[in-house]
This record gives sequence, C-alpha cells and structure tokens, in this order.
Amino acid sequence: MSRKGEDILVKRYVPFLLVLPAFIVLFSVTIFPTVWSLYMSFHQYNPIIGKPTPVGWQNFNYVIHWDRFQNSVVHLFYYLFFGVGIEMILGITIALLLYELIKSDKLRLLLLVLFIIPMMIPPSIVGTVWRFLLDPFSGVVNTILHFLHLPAVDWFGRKMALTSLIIADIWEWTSLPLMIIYSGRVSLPQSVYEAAWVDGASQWTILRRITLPMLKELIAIALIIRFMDAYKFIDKVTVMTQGGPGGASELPSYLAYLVGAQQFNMGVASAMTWIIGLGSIVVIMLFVKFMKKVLKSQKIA
Amino acid sequence: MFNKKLTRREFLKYSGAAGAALAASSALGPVARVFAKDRIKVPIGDPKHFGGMKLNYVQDTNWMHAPLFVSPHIEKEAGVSVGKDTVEYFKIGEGFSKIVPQLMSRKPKWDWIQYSPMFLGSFVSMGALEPLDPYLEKYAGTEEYLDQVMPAYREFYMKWDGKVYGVMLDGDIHLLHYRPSFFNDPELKKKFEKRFKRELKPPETWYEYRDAAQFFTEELKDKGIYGVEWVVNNPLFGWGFYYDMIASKGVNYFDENMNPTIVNDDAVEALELFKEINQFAPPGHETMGIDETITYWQSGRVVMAVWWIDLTEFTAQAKPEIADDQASALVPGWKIGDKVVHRAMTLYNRIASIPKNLPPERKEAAFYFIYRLSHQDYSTYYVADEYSGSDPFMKLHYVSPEQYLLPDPLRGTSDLWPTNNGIFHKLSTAENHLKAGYENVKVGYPQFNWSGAVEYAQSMSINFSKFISGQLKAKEALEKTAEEWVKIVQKYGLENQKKQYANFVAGAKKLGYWK
Repeated sequence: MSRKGEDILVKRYVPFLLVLPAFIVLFSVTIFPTVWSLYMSFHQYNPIIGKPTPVGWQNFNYVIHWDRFQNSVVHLFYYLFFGVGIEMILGITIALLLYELIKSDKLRLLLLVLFIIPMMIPPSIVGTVWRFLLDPFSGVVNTILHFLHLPAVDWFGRKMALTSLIIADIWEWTSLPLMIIYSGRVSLPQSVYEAAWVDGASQWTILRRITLPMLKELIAIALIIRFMDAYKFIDKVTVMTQGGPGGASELPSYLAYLVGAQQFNMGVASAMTWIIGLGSIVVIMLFVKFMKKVLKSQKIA
Repeated sequence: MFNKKLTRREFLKYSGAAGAALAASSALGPVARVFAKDRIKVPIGDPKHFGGMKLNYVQDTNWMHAPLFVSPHIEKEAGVSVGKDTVEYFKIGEGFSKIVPQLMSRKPKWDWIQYSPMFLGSFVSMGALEPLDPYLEKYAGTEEYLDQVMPAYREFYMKWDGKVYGVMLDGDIHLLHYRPSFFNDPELKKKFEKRFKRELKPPETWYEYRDAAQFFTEELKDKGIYGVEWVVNNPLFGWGFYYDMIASKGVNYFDENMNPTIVNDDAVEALELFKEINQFAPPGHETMGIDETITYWQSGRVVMAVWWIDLTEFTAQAKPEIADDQASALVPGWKIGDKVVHRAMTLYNRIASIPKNLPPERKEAAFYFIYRLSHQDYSTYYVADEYSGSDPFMKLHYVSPEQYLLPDPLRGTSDLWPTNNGIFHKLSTAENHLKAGYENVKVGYPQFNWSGAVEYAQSMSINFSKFISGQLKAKEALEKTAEEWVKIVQKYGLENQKKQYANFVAGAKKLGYWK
C-alpha cells in the first residue's frame, strides 16, 4: 500500500478507534441500561414468575393509577417548592451577603468553607445525624424546645416527616446555590456597579436592576441542578423515615427503589423510572423555556 | 427442662440417643437405613478431603463473622474453608435483588448463600436451590442434627415441599423484654394492686400488657420513662409486631384457597388494641424503627418491649450498667377459653443454601461447610458469641447458658473480633434469656416465606402504619391490605401461590396453628 493510501486509512479509521473505548464505556453504562429499562417497562418481569412477558402500556397505566405513586408525586412537588425553593433563596441571600458585607477576605474564605462542609458529607450520614437531632424522644431539637418551654414536635409523625427531610436537605444543599451564586457575583464587572453608584442608585435598586438580572443564568443553572437532584432524592428518605409513617414521606424515586430493588418487579420499577425521568425532563424544559423568555424580554439572551 | 438444670453435656447425650432412635425408626427412608453403615462420619478428620477448596459466599451486612472464625476448624476437619476475601455483602432490604441474578446464572459466583428464609419459597420455586436431603443422607448423625433444630424453624425455614433446602444459621424470635426493677418496685406494686386489683407482674395477655403499659407511663412519664415500645415504621418488619397479636388470636394469613383471612372482628380488635398500647410508648411512637427502639431501651427509659431476642444481648454489651436489669418472658397472648394462646413472630432469621447450578464437587464442599457451620458442635458456641450475630435455633443452644459468660473457644481475638469475654455477666440473666427464647420459639409463628413475601409484608406494614398515624381506620387498613394481597396473589398466579402456601399450611398444621 502506498504512503498516501496509508494516510487515508489512518485518517479514516484512527478517529473511530480513538473514540471506541469511550463509546464502549458509554454504551455499557448508559445507553444499554437505558434501552433495557425501556424494554423492561413494557414487560412484566419477575424472575419468580418467569421470563419477561410483553404487557404493553400496562405497567405505565398501573403506576399512574397507583395511589402511592400519586401521593409520592405530590410529596415531590412539596419538596421541590419548599425544599429547593428555600435552598435557592437562602443560597442567593447568603452568597450576596457574604460578598457585600464581609470585607475581610480571610473571614469570607473561612465562612465559605464552613458553609460548604455540609455538602461534603455523604447524604446518608447527614440523614443519620438529623435522625438523631430531630428524634422526638431524645433529640437535641426537642430538648432545646423543652428548655424554652415550647411544646415538643413529633418530627417524624405524619404531618412533619416530609418537612423533617426537607430541613435536613436544606442544611446540606443550600451551599450549592451559595457557591454558584457567589462565584458568579465575584465575576460581575465592577464598572457596572461604579456607574450605578455614580448615578446614585440605592443598594436595593442595584440588587434588583443589576445583580439579580446579571446572575439569572447562574440562578437557573443552580435551580436545574437541584431540580435534577430532587428526582434522585432517596438516601435521606431511607435513613430518616423509610417513607413513613404510612407513606407520608415517600418520594417517587424511593418508591421505585422499593419496587425494583426490594420487590424485584423490574417492569413496574422501570415504568416508574421512565415516568419520573420524563416528568423531570418536561419540568426542566418548561423552566428553561421560561428562563429564555425572561432573558429575551430583558435583552440579555 | 430448665427446672431440672440440664447441663449441655447431659443434653447432648439425651438428644444423641433420641436422634439415634429416630434414625432407627422412620426419619430416613428404607434405602438410607440400609446404607446407614456406609455413611460418612462427621467430622471427616481428613484435612485433604476437599483439597483445600476455598468457598465464595454472600451474607447480609447485619450478620457478623461466624463463618470466618469457624472456618479454620472446618478446614482442619475436611480441607474446605472461607476467608475475608471470599465473602460479599448485601443490605438486608436488597438481598433478594442481589442474590437472584446469581442464582439464575449458569455459573453462580457464590458457593453458598446466607439469606432470610422469607425468600425460601421464591428461590425454590425458581428451581434455583439444591435440595440438601441427598447430602444429609450421606453423613452420619444428620437425623440428630435435624431433630435438634427447633420445629418452628425446621418446618417453615429449612424445608419446602417436604425437602430440606436450607440449614439454620440464626434463629430470630420475638420476646417480651422487661425491666425487673420497675416490676419489683414496692411503691409501684402497691399502686398497681390498688388500681387493678391484681399483682404487678410481667403481663401474660395483651390486655394485661395494655394495663401495665398505661400504668407505667402514667406513673413515670414525668421522669421521662414510658411503658412500652416496639417497631412500628419499617416497610419490611413493621407488620410483624402487630402480627404477634393477631396470630395469637388464631388468625392466619390466607385460607387454603388464598383468600385473605385477616378481615374479621378478631383482627380489628387486635389492631385497635395495638394502637391503644402504642399511645404508651415514647414520643414519636408512630415512626419508631429498629434503631430508635434499641436506643430507647438502652437509655433505660422504657419498661417493656416486644422485640427480637437479641435486644438484651445488645444492651448487655453496650450498657453494662443495665445489663442485669433486663428479663424476658413469653410474648403476651389472648385468653381463649381457659387458656392463654401465645404466638411469637420468627421474623427475618438467617439460613444457608447452595445454588443449584454449581459444579458437583463445589456443591459437596459447600454442603459440608454450611452443615458443619450450622451443626451443634460449633453453633452452640457461636450463638453465645458477641461477634457472630446469631441467635439460638437448636434445642441444645437453650441449655447452654454458661457459654454466654465464657469466651468463645472457637476463636481468639483479631481486628474483626477484638474482644472475647462472653455476652452476659450473670448466669441468671443468661438462663432467663434462654428460657424465654425457648418458650417463645415453641410458639414461634412464621413470616411470609413464599413468593411475593416482600410485597405482602410491605403492603401490610404501610397500611398498618397508615392506621397508626390516623390515615385509615382499623377495618379499612385490614380491608386495603386484603385487597392488595389479592392483587399480589393474582400477579404471581393463584395456582402458584396456592401450591406455595400449602407449605405454610402443612407446617402450621404440624405445629397446631391451623384449625
């Protein structure tokens, strides 16, 4: 073969060979399981009963009409609205306060590190710690309430179980939007602020008209990350409430875990994960669309 | 048995004779009896017998190290062993999904599996387990071994359709645990007698349990002490604590045609009483799980608990100061006629089985290992060992209280088992522990152990939890559970479930639980 022919061969096939390992890994850990779970979601499969049998949309129909799943979706929205909502508000507020009010770089760094620590702890450990802190009988929180002559709270009772999960989650994950917003604020051009000060804008006007609009994209990214995490929220549920009492703190992903990993009903569990996945994609797409609209109206995008 | 203070040695002699008699009569088939002389003696006594084979196995994370520290002894006997590098673990709730793919594999990676017998029916119906009877017939003394296992475990958790598929490694059972210092307090005794016109003593019936729970809570709540506790919020086990009550009312799960039999006045009465008693538990009783109940008990602020047998063992280890202020008794029951009927749930438990798809030589070695591991020669010692995670399951285990005060002769100390001091500090505590264990196992009632076990358990747990937390009424909770059970039966197939449930019925009839 001529030198030219060899060059063509190299140019044509080497790129494929170079991406092949990555493709094999991606195919085996992402593409194949995804396709397999889609296949399973249209089958009834439990190894005890036998081989997978096609059941059409039956699994999806079952999941959608299952009261436990419906309740878990309601719980998810409650968690998204209050949990993720409070995390975002707190994260943005603390990030901006840190930047605006703390003048010492060393102190700011120290506080940032302190705020980030909860995020570095494994969620199951966070859950265990909060399980003990909120223990209605011997937990620190109720002991403090007792000391203050306030009534004890049944933190893991029907009314409070989901809220207790949210409290632990807020403690752990507020630092994520905090970090993102703080880094965004640091990178905003100082000249814009100087111009605003020259024009005599108040701090509130600067926040409303300059800081927040310029941070909108980052806020959206932080929100989307937390939204995506919310759909995978399972570890703290397992450790703190086990979905109880009576399913009062069950979230869709925890239910999918029970059905898939404990009952081994792969068809129903797969259908559930597809509904959860598609639901999250739709919500995030709607949110991105909304953000684009907002940015366009402000001529930022 | 306990009044006679039978020693372990005497008991061995006793049961050995009984076993031999059994073998001579009808325990084995005629073929086995013919070849009885040719059976392999145990221990084999040849360290090269299995050629130094090292076995792979899987166990749950909550069980401990008995296989590892018994292994060197079995290796000396027959040249088969396990090691730290040959064990894998699974979380209790995930055992089924972790084990099944390996059982279905043509080349299972584990030579033996440790799991809860709640999956026994599922695994057998998949055709995934090796029947152990042919192996048992090869070895001398196996009748004695089988006879040693408590019937509640042997009938429900080792056998399926008349064949043996598993050997016991851990016998779980519910007991009534209580704190004698409160029951013996003169002032409390006086007050109780005045109020209830009877002596203050550990309750025998569920109504007496309610009275005692109410009394202690009302008298001691100001000191932060409560009458009772039990596990309420656990998707896999919560139901079992209620079932102690309903089973002793004579209610079984299904009839022979797989119609749920749990919706009736007896079950409603039991469920309502369960909720009433639960009011006298510490704050947060709606959601108490396994960890919380252990913590509360060890804090010394709970007077009575229906819990697994090892609660007192954990406490003796973690809180020596209250170790001897613990006693155990029969789980309360219901007065039916002039008798009190008791049933104690045998929840979880651990057995060992062999995957069917293994090569024959590995099956042989795996059988020898698990059989010897379960055998009274070793298990008598490790059930009294703080690093085994096993509880008594053989008759002999219940007459060896002294072992609970002694180091385990099967092992020294190492990084995995750093101490070896025995569990209890007083012989009387150990004696009471075993006596209560034995009495409860005699009336041990099985958990779901056929296909769909996890689904039945979770359905019942969640509906009862809804009742306890006020989302459903007692009858509604039972009806909803029954409704869901019917769907589970349909999903697995009525005939399949009937066939599997027949195994439960056979055991229940044998033990007198089936009317």
